[in-house]
Order: sequence, then structure tokens, then C-alpha cells
Amino acid sequence: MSAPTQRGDETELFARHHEMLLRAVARQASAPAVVIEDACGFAWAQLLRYQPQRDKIVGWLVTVAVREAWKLSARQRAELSGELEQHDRYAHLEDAGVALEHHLAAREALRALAELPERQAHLLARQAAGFSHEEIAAETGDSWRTVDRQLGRARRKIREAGGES
Amino acid sequence: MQLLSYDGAAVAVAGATRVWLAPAIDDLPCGDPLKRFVAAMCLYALDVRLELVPGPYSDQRAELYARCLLLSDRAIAAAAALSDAELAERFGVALEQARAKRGELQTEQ
Repeated sequence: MSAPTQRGDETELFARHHEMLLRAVARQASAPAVVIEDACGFAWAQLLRYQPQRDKIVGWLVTVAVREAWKLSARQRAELSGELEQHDRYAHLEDAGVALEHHLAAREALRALAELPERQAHLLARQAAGFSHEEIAAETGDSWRTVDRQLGRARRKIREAGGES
Repeated sequence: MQLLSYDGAAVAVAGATRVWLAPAIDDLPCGDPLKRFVAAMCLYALDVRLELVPGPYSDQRAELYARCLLLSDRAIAAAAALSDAELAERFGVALEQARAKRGELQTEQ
């Protein structure tokens, strides 16, 4: 089933309510700022996808964001206690340094996108945009292993182009 | 957190650590020029969030950033003989972005 068409008021809604949403979620969900921000981002993304009724939009956004904040917080606690795999999508939340390192690597990769075959460039762009191997594989129809191998090849090409060891 | 717009439509949301593409963008096929371009705009939003580039975020700056990523000056110079349409196809970007990039280079010269 395709997503509903945008109504054209999304940018205006965001400008009007996003600060309020951050504050409301921070009050209701005891979580780090980065979790609150991601939870609110998720709520706005859900708005784009499902186009809920506008007359109750504030309550809808708060409900979706608070639930996501709880979910992310629970996941973060589980990761910290070692219950989840290290390669999970949210693993980098526990260490901002790792997130930065990951981001910088992806950023450098994108700089060389124009030099790469289209397929590898696409995979790198998806990874840089925050998608996991599993999500990329689901979109492309490839296996996790194929995605991982293609990304590895792309990174090697970029390293070689940059003269790195 | 930032809502990204392109050509008057919301195209993505960038949070603190990840981004979400709008369904209309997410549903585009692999390698689609608009999808690649929006992904590059998302990267700018994350760079601003991490204070790696000066803010504040704006869609215009994000487009400029995306053009720099996807259309390097050196590569464009090497492809001077190509038409805008051929350039767009070769680099996998929308025609209007190829034109915009050439316009920027001409302005700099």
C-alpha cells in the first residue's frame, strides 16, 4: 500500500510545533537529549508517512514521540547491559565518539560517490543516511552478506583513491 | 532535528543520529537521482547537527552541499563538452542540479 500524498502543510507544521514537541517529550520521557531528538524525528517521519488528521496533530505527535522515546531508552538500557548485539542500529547512541567516527567515515565516503559505480554509490549513500545493512538489503533485494561485501569494496576504492593505507 | 524540503515538498527528517526519508523519496528506485540528492542533503543536516559545518541548517545550503558532494568541480571541468542533460545522467543527479552546478562554477569564474 502506498503512503498518502503530502498535504503541503508539513513544513509549516514543523516550523510551528517542533520546539513544543521537543519540550513536551522531554517532560514526559526521562531520556537523554539525543534520544528525545531522535524520538521527535521519528514522530515527524511518521507524520509524513501516515498523514494523520490535522485537528489533533499535536497530541498525535506527542504520543508517537513519547512512545518512541520510551522504546529507544529501553533499547539503550538493554544495550548497555549487553543484551543486544553490538551491530544494532542504535548501538552508537551509547558512545557519541563512536557515532562521530561512523559519521565521518560515511561523510568521506559520500565525497567520493561520483567516482564509484552507481550500485556501490547508492549503497554508501543509504548507509550514510543511517540505514542498517538489513534495511539496505530489504530495499535492494540483496542478502546482508552482499550488501556488506559491496560496501567493503566501495570503501576500499575510496581509501585507495585517497591514498590511505 | 530538522525537516528537509526540496522543491516545495518535505523529503526527509533528520534526527540526532539518523534520518528518515519521506515515503515519496523512500519508494524511489535504487540510484534515482532525487533519492541520492536527498541522501546527500541529509548528510548536511547531520553535519550541522554535529557542528562539523557552520549552521544553521537551510534547504538552500543543503542543496549546495549536496551538489558539492555529488558533482565535484574537477569532474565537472573534465566533462565540459557534455550538455547539461548528459552531465546529469553521467553523475546521477537531476537536470536542474546539473544546471545549478554549472551556474555556480560560472559565477565563481
